[in-house]
Amino acid sequence: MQPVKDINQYLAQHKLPHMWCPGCGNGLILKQLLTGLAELQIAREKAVLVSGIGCSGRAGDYVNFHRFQGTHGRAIAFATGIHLANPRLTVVCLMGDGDCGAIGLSHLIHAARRNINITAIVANNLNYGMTGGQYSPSTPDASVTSTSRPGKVGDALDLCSLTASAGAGYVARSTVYHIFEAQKMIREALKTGGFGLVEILTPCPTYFGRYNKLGSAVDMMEWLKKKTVPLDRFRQMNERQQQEHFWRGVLAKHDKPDFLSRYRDRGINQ
Amino acid sequence: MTGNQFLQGNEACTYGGLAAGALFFAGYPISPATEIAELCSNLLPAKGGVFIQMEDEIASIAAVIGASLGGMKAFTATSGPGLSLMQENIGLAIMAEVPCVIINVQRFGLSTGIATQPGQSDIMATRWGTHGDHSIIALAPSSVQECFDLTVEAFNLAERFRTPVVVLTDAVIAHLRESVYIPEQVKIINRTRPSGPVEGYRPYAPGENLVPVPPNFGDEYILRVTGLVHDEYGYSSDNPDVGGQLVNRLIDKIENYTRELPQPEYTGPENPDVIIISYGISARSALAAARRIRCQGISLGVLKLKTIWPFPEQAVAKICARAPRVVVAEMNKGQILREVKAAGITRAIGLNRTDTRVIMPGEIISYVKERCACATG
Repeated sequence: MQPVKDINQYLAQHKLPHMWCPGCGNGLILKQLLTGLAELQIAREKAVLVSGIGCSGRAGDYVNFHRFQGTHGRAIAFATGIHLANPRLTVVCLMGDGDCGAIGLSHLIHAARRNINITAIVANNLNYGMTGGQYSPSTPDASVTSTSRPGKVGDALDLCSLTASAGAGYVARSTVYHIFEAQKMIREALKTGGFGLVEILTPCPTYFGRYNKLGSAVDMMEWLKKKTVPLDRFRQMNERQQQEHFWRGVLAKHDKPDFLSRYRDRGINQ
Repeated sequence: MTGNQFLQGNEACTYGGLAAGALFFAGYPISPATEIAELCSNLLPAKGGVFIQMEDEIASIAAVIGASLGGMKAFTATSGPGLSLMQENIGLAIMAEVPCVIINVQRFGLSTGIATQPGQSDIMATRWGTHGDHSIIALAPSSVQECFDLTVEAFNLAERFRTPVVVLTDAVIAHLRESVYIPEQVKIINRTRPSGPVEGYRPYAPGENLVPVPPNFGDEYILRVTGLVHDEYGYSSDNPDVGGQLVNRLIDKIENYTRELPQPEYTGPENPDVIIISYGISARSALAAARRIRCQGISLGVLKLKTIWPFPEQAVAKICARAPRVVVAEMNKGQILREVKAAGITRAIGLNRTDTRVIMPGEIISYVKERCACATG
């Protein structure tokens, strides 16, 4: 295992400090991604960070390896092309919940279905941060946001369940409070030979926290700790309890050939 | 596949793409462009390439852009409704200077129109469909041979200028079968790759002819790509000077070098009474009309456009100076006519059809006789 300090090779030091708000977890998520790359000893020129639009999308400005930032919601579709053209690359999509779960949902499901060998990391701060705290598909029911002052109407989308049922090789969820668990999941996803998704709940004290009176950034970390339970415990909860919690853990993990291997096999057999 | 072949326009576009070195196709089925995807799905695996049918047109062009940055020459094929969906990412490809080719087989109508019938009404959608100031290259074949030749050319221009290039065919040309000669080898231009020190390398520093020399993902030179305004290192920037210079360079790198694009072809007498400006399937009718009308003593020249965008203003103005009458024949409400007039040929009039019916040679002859009376004198 490489020492953690090796993440410096992937960082554009001169672009720091970053532009994320105090208390935001995006920096932690980026650090865990870079740690994962370092631990797996992925050469700087063999990694590509495909970032989405929004707060987490800005992560690309702070890395010192190949990066791509395209249009809103399409990160996985761009990444699919990058991977298929050069499968020797480690292609990582870093997206927010709005980017991945709303405008980009179809790409997520289909990449999971195809089992494209890329890693998707979703920084889920439960709202749209960059545009001022509007509700996202993963905003819990009744939450206050700038476009749901009386409380959001409609259940939150569970990106992990959708991705797992679509056929992804690896699906897991954690939080920035449980950062070492999240780190392990990112490493697992990077090692997965097919589509890997890691959803990481992260506080947005500036908007989601403020609108819902969740207190300071520290309070929000405590909130994440309290609100999340391991998957097996979550499954034992009744429906009402479940609605008040988030599960965390590994939802899917299986080895099956990725799209390109199957495509090449089919081509040879013809 | 080489030598003389009897092919459909869509097939010729596909073979043209492969001859130019394309190894990646992502698309979504749409009439009348489907044969291109079908043929690619058959041919690409054996060449070590990849065909993928994406979930929609937005994903298709996104995957094409990704594959191009990953180092493969990449293309897609679609028709009007698909082109509409692709527009945002075409803008991204222009901004991020990603070479790729979009074959747009035009069909009739706005919205879903008539799926199987021809039109030539995506001219302005191709030019201005994406938001923001920009330039774009679009080529229009008017024969199956040109489907092959101009698709090869489209890839070469995409690599040369590092920009998306649109091939504008139409449902008739796409499904027309004609003899095509496919040479053993075609002239291929590959993107220039960086050299020199890796440290401090700037992927978006303009090189020769204002075109930068970015690497591919996976090269030891680091490539930072964003649709945001970016500096020469590829870092996003909100500096007005950086934004202004970037947008102006993106336009100038094409507009200043229009002489390198396929030039309009003039067929006819030195000083004709009438010049018909046309392109695509309509140009075929214009050429047939010119052959027939000659027997009736009328002097008619045909100016066939190959490059649609940037509009070849100077060449068109120069050739049209020879004729008192200019008619623009096209299957739309006058989209190229506007450009002809903007090029200073204000006397130009339009022969337009927008009902899926191809403009026939007889129609052009009647129009010339009626509307250009002096021509017959």
